[in-house]
Amino acid sequence: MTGPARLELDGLHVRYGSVPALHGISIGVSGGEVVGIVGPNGAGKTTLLSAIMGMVSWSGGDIRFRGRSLTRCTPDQVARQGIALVPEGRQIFGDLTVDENLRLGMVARRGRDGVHADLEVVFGLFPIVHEYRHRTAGLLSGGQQQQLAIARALIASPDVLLLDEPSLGLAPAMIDIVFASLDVIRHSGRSIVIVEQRAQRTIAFADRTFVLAGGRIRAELGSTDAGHADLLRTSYFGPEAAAPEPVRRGVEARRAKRNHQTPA
Amino acid sequence: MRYVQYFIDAVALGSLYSLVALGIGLIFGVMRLINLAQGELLMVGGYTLFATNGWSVFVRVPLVLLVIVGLALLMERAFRRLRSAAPATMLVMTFAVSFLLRSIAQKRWSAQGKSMNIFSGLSHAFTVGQLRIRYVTLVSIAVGGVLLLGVNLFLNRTDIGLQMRAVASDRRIAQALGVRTNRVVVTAFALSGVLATAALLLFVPQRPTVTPDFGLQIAIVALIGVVVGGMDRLAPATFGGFSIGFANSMVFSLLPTGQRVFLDSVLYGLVIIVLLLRPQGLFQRERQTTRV
Repeated sequence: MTGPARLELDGLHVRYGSVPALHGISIGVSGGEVVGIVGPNGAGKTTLLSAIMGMVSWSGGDIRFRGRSLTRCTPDQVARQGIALVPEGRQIFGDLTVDENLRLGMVARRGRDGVHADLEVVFGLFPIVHEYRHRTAGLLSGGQQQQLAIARALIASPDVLLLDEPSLGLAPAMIDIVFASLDVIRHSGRSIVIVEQRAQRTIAFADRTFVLAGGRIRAELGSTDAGHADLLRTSYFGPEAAAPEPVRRGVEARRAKRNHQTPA
Repeated sequence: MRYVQYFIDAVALGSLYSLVALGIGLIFGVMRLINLAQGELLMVGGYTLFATNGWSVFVRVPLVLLVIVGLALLMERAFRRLRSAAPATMLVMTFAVSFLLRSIAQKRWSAQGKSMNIFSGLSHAFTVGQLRIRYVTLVSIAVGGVLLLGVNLFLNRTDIGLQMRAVASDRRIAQALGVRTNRVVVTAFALSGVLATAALLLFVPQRPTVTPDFGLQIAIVALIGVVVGGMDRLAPATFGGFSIGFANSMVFSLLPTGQRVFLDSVLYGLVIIVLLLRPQGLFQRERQTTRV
């Protein structure tokens, strides 16, 4: 499973204006590895993925992909190097057709070779995407849109797939479909970074899971730590903290994040 | 029969304004920017025509196209630096560019109209029964139709067209998928330059004198058309441009000769009524929200 790190976050610092969002995050993702990131709202999970994609700039540290720094790379350059994002809230193009959404996914491909084979794989994973490919994407259900969003990222044939809360707002049956597809994807040699609020499921699914809170890594867990609720609670909130206070802090952090993100 | 005549003339003017409106709509789509300097593309093209009066058409048309598209690309360059600025800042910037270009024109050529003769044959008319139709009317309708269809095909059948629609829909996500947004924006500006060139050449037979405000007068009307139609989508914006041109010509024809000074008052009165009744735009469907 593990080899030299394919994607490497090295002491990453990100701030929104004067509000720090990430404090020195270091994570390495190897080829074919699944890395989970869990944590409360406002922990900096989405910021982390946005930084990798070049959608927010970082104030310190570095992100390296296959040994090369991604400093000053624009999001399209990052995508073309082989990192694909399934954004939070799916963010498919609602007024375009399913097919057109997939074609936009192909923009980041390096060359057109193997498109048909990859399409077969994607349609195999998500038959609904094939069935509805002529429909307007905005008319699909939430779960179908999520499948389309993953399909759109996969068709770019990325080395690293970033997923931001793929289970958010989905029915349990849909969540099963999403995780089943991720299980197939992990065996194709792609690395996966999955950000989730559903901690238990993510910890069980990922090879390693980092607990992020207040912009710092609080713990690193293996997949066998999934059942340990105490471990998770302490890593979320710290050993000394009672539950209500940090929760409030999470809300404040989220509000601060929202305020600073809107003008961007 | 008189009304058929009015109608044909109105359709012709409508097609011209729809070209300008489509140019404004394309840029608004990919940049969320109302380019108030859009009219200056026509103005600068007009002075290019004036400066080359007497030259061969085969030199002048490509030259005007080159000048207008070149200026459009320069504008894109200037606006690019401000792309992350607040919308109001960008709007003021485009106004500044418009003002600057008009001032330069005034300094160079004075506020007096200069004649630009091209395709003078188009001003001639032929008669069908009681209808008196100028060639430029037919050519305007034909060129307008062909260009609108062409842009439609470009947006729907080509990869860069698809990317343009994606950028218009969600720039951040399009870029994260690998779309080179700069290239898409440049394409939109170039395309709007082509449309401005076509509109200019067809405006000349009915407005053969260019002044520093030549373009502004056209662009303001087209812009109002875009707002009336609904600026969020291209088709309503274009159709809005068509409608304002159509209404302009119709109201002009229907007003008694002595009352034509009230053309603008009647027209903008109609605009106010439309916006009061349908603030989302005349041709805009109710916004569907399909977030699940």
